[in-house]
Amino acid sequence: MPWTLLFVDLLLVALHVVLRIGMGLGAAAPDLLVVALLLSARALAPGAAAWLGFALGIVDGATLPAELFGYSALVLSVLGYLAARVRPVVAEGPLFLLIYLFLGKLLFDVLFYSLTGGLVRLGLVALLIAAPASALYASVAGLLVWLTVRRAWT
Amino acid sequence: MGVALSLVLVLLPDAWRAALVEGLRETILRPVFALQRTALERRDRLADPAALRAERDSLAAVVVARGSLEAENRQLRRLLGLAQRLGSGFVAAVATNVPERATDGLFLLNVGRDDGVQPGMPVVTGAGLVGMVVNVEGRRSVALGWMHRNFAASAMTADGQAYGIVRRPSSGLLGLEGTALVLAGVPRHQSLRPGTLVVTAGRGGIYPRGIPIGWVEGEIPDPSPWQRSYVVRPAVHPGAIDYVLVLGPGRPGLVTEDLLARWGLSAVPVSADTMPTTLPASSNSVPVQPARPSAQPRLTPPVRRVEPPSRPAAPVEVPNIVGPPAPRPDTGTRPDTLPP
Repeated sequence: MPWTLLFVDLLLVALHVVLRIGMGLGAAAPDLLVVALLLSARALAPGAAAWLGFALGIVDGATLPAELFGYSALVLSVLGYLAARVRPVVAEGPLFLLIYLFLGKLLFDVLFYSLTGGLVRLGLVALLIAAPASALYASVAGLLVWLTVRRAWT
Repeated sequence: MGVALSLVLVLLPDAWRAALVEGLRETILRPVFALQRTALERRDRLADPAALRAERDSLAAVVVARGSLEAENRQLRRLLGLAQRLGSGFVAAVATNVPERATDGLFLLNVGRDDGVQPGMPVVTGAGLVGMVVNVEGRRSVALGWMHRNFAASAMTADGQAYGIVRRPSSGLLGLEGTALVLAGVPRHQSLRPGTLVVTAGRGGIYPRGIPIGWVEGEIPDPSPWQRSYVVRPAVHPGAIDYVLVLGPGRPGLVTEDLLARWGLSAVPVSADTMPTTLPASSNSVPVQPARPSAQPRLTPPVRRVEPPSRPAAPVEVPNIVGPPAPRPDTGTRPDTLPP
């Protein structure tokens, strides 16, 4: 299972940077970094999940302007830690997983925008419309990934 | 531990963070950014044809606009020349098609009773006769053009040798409605050559004598054995009726004047009531033997004919009334090329 998890994480990270950066799709592609972290955190200890978040944050920060470097790592490491912590209270099943991914991505956006001043710059529109829409998009993508991986594993 | 390290990263100086970002982009993310660069270049290459096409279309639009501007400029210059030769007794106007009645040959003029315009006043351009004013309001009026079914004018050849009535072709002459006129009532013994200039005759008290109407194109069958009818290509194309002059305001005796010289043509000292049966050798209208009804229409294309430089036997010198312009929309540059 850990090797499968690592493979899926690498695949999602590669897809994320290729789609968003290489193909220039930007926000038109789902945030697969957060999806990879949230899915992996369900199988990792809180500390390991935080390190994974830190590593994914470094990758994400390298694709952003230099003044934002570090914020992704900070938020993702916190998110990984929290996701690993709440694992016992998250039930199994597609619907719960969908909600879990949605809330995780929404929390990431809110924290990231708050730390980087995005909430002030973009206003409530980002918080009430863009962030939920992005969270829903990422959660659906994450659910598809999870269903695919589970079928392959079983 | 990861969270603490992240905090350190956030608190690093900007220059250090920039160096870290650059290092990551040049190492592990290098293939991704190379892919991004390739994608952008491909997008640029794909976008080029559309951009070039847009630039070409914009250029074509500019060229077309310049063409219409030149035509308008030429039309205005010709009208200005006519206005200078007329001196006074006219009102300049802008003509537009009457909405929903454009094909009827009615035009809306932006001058009216307040400008001295009255019903029956002739409307002309620098090329020739357009029609007459039929309805007048305070600041606008309606003019009837030669394309209208009710248009008619007494006409003659510019040398004054042949007279007739110019009107719109009957419905039986398919293809001529709206594009040509018919000169009817020409005596059988008078044959007109293609290219003969037809002007108003000054009869009827509406159109002054000498306003160019058009050029003879060819003969068509006439039901009467004593008369001939000719197709006349109008001097003023319908598409060139934008800027016009309304003749008459402030010039009561205009209808009795001979305006041929105002269009740069030589006036003809022939009485309007005289219908000669013999013609000078140089005349455009040629006497022929009577009672030779033509069974077939003799429509011939207009022939550009240039008068010889010296014509000693010609009693009436009409050097500018032959040789119609090529049938194109903005009719002829002839008046501009004539001596004033």
